Amino acid sequence: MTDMTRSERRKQNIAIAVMILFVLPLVFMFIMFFGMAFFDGEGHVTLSNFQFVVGPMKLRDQTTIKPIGLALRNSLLFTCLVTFFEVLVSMLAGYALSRLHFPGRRNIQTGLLVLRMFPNLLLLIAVLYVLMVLHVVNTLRGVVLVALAFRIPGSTFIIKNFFDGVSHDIENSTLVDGCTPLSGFFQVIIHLVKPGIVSIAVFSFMSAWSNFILFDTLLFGSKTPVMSTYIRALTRNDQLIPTYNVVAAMGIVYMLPVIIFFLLTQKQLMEGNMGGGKGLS
Amino acid sequence: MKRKTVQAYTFLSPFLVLVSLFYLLPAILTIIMSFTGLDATFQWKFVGFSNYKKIFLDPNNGLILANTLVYIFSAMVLIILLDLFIAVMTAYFIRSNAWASLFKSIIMLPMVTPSVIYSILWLWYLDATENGFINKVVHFFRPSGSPTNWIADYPMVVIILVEVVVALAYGAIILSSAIRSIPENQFRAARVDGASEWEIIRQIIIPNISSHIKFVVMWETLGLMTNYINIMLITNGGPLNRTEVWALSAYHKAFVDQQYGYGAAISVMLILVVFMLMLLFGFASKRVHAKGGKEND
Repeated sequence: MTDMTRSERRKQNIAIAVMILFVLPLVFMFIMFFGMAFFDGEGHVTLSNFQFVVGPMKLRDQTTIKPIGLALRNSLLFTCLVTFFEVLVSMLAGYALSRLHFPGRRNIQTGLLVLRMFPNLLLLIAVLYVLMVLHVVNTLRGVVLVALAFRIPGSTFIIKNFFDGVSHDIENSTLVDGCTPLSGFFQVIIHLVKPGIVSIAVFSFMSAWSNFILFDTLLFGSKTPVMSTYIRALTRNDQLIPTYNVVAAMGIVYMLPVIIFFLLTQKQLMEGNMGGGKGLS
Repeated sequence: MKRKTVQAYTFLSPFLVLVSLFYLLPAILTIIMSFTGLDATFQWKFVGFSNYKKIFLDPNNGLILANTLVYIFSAMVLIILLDLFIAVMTAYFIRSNAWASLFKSIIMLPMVTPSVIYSILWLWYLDATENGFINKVVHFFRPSGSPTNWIADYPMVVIILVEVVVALAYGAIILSSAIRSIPENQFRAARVDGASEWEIIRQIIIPNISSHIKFVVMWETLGLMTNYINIMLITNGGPLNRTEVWALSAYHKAFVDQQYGYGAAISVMLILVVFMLMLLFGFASKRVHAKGGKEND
């Protein structure tokens, strides 16, 4: 801003200084923790904490941990499936709710508002039973379905707001130009809501990648490890966490995609936040 | 007309199927389960209201309810005050977009950190031995003292802190973009009239964003009430139930003790409270979000 007065500039500088002090403990906490990944017990710089990436690894307390490969693969598969279908399903639903007129539309719209705030974690007991009846209990497929279902009310709501912003004239002109509603949707409308699609995809990716509770409650045994349960298993026993250095190294591997995504899409994250995403839980 | 209806429901069908299978059906099942003695053997034996009676008779539940209230109320007050502070700082005093978004990104860091890692961060930070970060710092200044077991000694303070830090970003971003949309003229006029910054904050900023504040309060209250993941990962309700909250106790009863019926009854009660709160807040979100959606295009 060029039109700031001197007193405004002075106040801005004070505010920046105050905010730096405010966020410093947080920054410090993250840097110190992840920094540990690059040191061994004696304080020498090393990469040996990352050994779990390439093969089995022996910890200082003589326990051996499995390589991370399988967990990484499962997490990637899970995240891609959930993100792809979440975008697809919520786009179709959001479009119908925003654009098409049909009996029951108002009810579904009201239902969406309630569902978006519904405490779905409290339904897990019954969800487990539904998965048993559907014969997908204790499989990754089952968890994909649940994760998808739990997230689509939120993302449908966001994308519906984006569709609401597309002018009706544009849609009518696709029809005049000879598109069917379906081809008009795929050839024209979809491009106008691209920011919305990016926004829900980012949220979906991050939340699926970090999910823990669904795997913890719906997958028993360590048959299908994912990143979150793999790391949690190491730290679960009440006695001390074996070595923070190794856990920090795992944290870096786990957080890398999140940080990259975060830096690339900060703007969408903030907008999605505005549009009423449910956070990442 | 008929064709359009068919088309709309074709578009909606995956959504409706998933919602019916994993929201509606489980909701109905939870209510039915709450009247049964369902356990690990999965036999549906109806027991009437005895699960609900058990809720009122279990002496632990008084403590759990008190914990829940203390937890929600303290965390809520801290979250709103800090959100307002961050929003006023980054949207009103700091006009530079680069600085403002830098601070907002840092505050978003805990939110984008997976909860498993976020919890380990705190476990390390507050570790009871001299490996813990805080204990190291204390030791540096007072080499004679023995390390403090922070999580065991102050469990409630710890989980409130953990939850406040992770919840800050959501409200701070909503409030700061609400402040950015207040017309600049209002501030200029107030300054010409000789208003102090404190008066501007109290009489212009707060009244202008009050509907957003209400929305954040509602959203965070529901979140604090039903999201137990961080508590579970850090104290798991302990020591001696001192951080056991309502939602977490439903989880424990069902998935640890395998008393599915009893767990379902606790969930049903909590869902009822959540619904009453939603009605009380009167879907305040509708208005805010109609606005929020527009800003996005």
